Amino acid sequence: MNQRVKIWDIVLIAALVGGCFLLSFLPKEQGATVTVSVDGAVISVIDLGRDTVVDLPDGGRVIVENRTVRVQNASCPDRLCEKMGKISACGEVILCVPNRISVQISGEGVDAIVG
Amino acid sequence: MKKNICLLFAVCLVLLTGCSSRKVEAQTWAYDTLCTATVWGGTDSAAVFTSAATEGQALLTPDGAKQYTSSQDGETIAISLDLFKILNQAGILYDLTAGAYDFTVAPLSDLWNVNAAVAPPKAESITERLALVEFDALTFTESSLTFRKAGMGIDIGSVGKGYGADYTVAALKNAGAEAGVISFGGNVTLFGTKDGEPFRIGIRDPRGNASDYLGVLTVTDTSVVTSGAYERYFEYAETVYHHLLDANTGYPRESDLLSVTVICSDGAQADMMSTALWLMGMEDGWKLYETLGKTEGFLPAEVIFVSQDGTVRVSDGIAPHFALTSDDYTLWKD
Ligand SMILES: [Zn+2]
Repeated sequence: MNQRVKIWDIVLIAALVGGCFLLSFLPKEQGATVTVSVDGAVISVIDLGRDTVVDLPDGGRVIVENRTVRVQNASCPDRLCEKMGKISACGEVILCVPNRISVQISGEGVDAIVG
Repeated sequence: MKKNICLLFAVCLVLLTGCSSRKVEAQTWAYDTLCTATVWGGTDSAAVFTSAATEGQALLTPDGAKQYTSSQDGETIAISLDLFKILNQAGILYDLTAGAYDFTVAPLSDLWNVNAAVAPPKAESITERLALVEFDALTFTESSLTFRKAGMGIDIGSVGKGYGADYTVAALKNAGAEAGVISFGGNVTLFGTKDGEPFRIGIRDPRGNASDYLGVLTVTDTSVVTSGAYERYFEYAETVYHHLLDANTGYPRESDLLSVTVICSDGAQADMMSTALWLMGMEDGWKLYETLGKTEGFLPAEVIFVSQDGTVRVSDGIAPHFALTSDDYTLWKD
């Protein structure tokens, strides 16, 4: 059982990484942001260019540093999210399946400017 | 195990259906400004948008113009229920800003005509017009509005764009549209999602160009409206004269704020609030924001204050959805 969970996690992450790999060829622009969600609800949106630490409800942390993002101190059993290491391109995602946490870089400018 | 399969399935679904509905772009002029729309889905969305933009404006003034001026003492005009609601909120803002925000500022804004002016008006003319600016000299019901004196008027400059954007969104949704980004001269109303994600809205950098933004807001199903002196102004004898007039003095108001952004499900309220809050400045404006949160007749709203010293103060409810992206500004700390 435990073994199968891990296999599915890997398949899922591989699918996302594949998609993200294609997206990463898109040009980087000003204002790329990092969206941290837990159970589908956004808990934080951070500028990719601003070094920050976001505390996760499970005790882990999302670290934004030098335009890269990584998860540290993950509490999940597999710790695959932490092992994914750093992401830095628009569209890339770190997923923690057991704790239902997603960390995604969005970019490609904005849909509108207000003001 | 089951959970994981569901999640994988959901991810695939999002990837596959990402570009399902047709995207339509449209633009038109109303409320003295360029109005643009990017709409996903719906029937004839471009035509629905352009006609709704004009239609909405006609619900605010009798001739659908930016201002209405009465021609005789005690003149009564028919009004829409929407304008009645707006007048109620405008009255509360008039009281809470001690008259600085005044919906009857029309005679003054008409005199200044900041869009086309090259020099400020004469002091005597300003004094003359000031006598015609007084919200309390209006009486209104759900269907009628009476001006005490000839020459008094209403100016929809501080509400029309937010109202108008909302009005077109209602029409677009009726015509089956699924999502859209509507901008009336930089006042944005959003609905639905783009590929399952909320929209990314840049908050204009008041010290930069029109395409520069200081932060990004990730939201949908709401209106986002910004007010700031940088929007419309002219220079004369090395002095800057902008469009946000203090109805008590008749001159452009001094404020330590560069801009105020209001995020609210009601675009008209967001538009009026952003003007009133800007007029009050960083400290009193924030107090007014907190007061409005407890005031009957006002819907919940979130705000972003950008001060002259580069401080950005964000209300708690929207902070998780806002990312500061410019190094020229810093977030406010208690
Ligand atoms: Zn994990």
